[in-house]
Amino acid sequence: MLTTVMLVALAALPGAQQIDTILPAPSGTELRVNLMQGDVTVRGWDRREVRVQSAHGGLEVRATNGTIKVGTDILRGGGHVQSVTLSVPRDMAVELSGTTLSADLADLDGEVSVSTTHGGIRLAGGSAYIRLHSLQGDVHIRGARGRIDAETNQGDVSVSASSGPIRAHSLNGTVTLEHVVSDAVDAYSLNGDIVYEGSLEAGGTYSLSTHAGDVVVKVPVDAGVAISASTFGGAFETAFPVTLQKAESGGRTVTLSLGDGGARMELQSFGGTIRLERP
Amino acid sequence: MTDPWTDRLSELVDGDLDAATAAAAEAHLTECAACAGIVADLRAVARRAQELRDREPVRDLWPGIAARVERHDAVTSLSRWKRLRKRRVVFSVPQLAAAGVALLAVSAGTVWLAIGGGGAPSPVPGTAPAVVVSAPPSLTLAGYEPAVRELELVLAEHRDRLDTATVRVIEASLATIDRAIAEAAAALEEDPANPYLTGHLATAMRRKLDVLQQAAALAATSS
Repeated sequence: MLTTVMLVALAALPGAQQIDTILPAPSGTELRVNLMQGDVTVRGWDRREVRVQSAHGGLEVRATNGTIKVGTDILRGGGHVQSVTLSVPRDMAVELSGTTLSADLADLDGEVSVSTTHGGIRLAGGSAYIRLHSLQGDVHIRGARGRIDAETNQGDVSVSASSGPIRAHSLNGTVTLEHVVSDAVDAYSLNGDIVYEGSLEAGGTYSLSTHAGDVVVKVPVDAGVAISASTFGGAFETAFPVTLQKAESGGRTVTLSLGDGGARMELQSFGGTIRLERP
Repeated sequence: MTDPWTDRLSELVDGDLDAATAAAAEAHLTECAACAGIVADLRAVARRAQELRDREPVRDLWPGIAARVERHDAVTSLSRWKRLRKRRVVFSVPQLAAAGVALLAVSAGTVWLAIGGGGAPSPVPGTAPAVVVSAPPSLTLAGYEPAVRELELVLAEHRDRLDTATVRVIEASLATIDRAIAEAAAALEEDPANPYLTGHLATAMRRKLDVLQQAAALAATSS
């Protein structure tokens, strides 16, 4: 554990000096990045070190008490847009935050948390708790294995080729889950469509809900799932024959079961179409 | 410059930090007046949420809620939601569906799910991973609107700290939610016995709380 405080590689002149520094990162060290505006690229590597690179300077890099902190150094030219590249041990916990921050992360196995007000987030890989939140920006996750929590207000959310419990929420965008393996899915959009193509595990629960968009579920031929579909002003459609078990609320909520009905799926669209398709 | 502790202060107030981090945070508060002020505000809000939570939930509120929501179609908000957000209730979808979800009483900060007139169900151990359902907030008129007003006040007080782009996004988000709430409320008036609509309206209102909380937190922690 790092017990000393280090202040390294500060740009000496406002906005002028490139940063390229390497800090030791023993197991358990965390990375915390907070930028006012800029792009951050994070890549996992097989060294127990963190390398910080920035072409424009204006960064403060500190290592203290088991945490490496990278932040905007406003006194040294940090007011401008920054582009930062970080190489980190794969198992390192990484936390990024910023006001206007775009993040691109890959090859990480530790916890990942990104919170930005304006900016997109892209993650490839990941195998622990993954929390990616943006107020305005798309959130894309591919190839993750872990507990996924992805959210944006104004933007799309996509999770592909991933496994683990998934929470994917957007207020005004499309939520797309493709080629996922999960037994717990919570997908929500207020104004956008929801598309789900993935496993339907026995005992699993799948909740897909939108207000104004459509819900499209691609149901494997051999799936066993009990489905409840509710709408108010929309419609329920299916691309293959099904037998409805029950219709309630004047037909606005229908239930049906496919196969052994082992998975539970709740589909809701207030004003859009709920559609079952084959992959 | 953004203080790195600002993102952790709500966790501190909620008691979610480990002992060492909490101690470090408390030490930071002694040196940082801005963070100390934020924590004081959050703790005050938490106390008020506790007071609201202790109120008796009112049953059979939906007609009143629907009317109320319709009347105030630009109603912004509900209360500060740190606690509500933290207290998501874990239910399986079948629990919600089969129980027919009679709703709920959420007074600021608490989610009560009254299923079949019974008490709030507990997450069933060993059944994970259940879907984490953002439990539809119930709305007691006594708790909802004061909570809304309080969050609005927090936001208004610090609104000038937000950049125009952020304000625009927040306003667009709230407008979208307001439309959804108005539509859901109108639908519920037409079909008051529809449990889906009940949950849908509550979810939309909860969503609005989330956005207001998010906006208030951004405003309060922006420099």
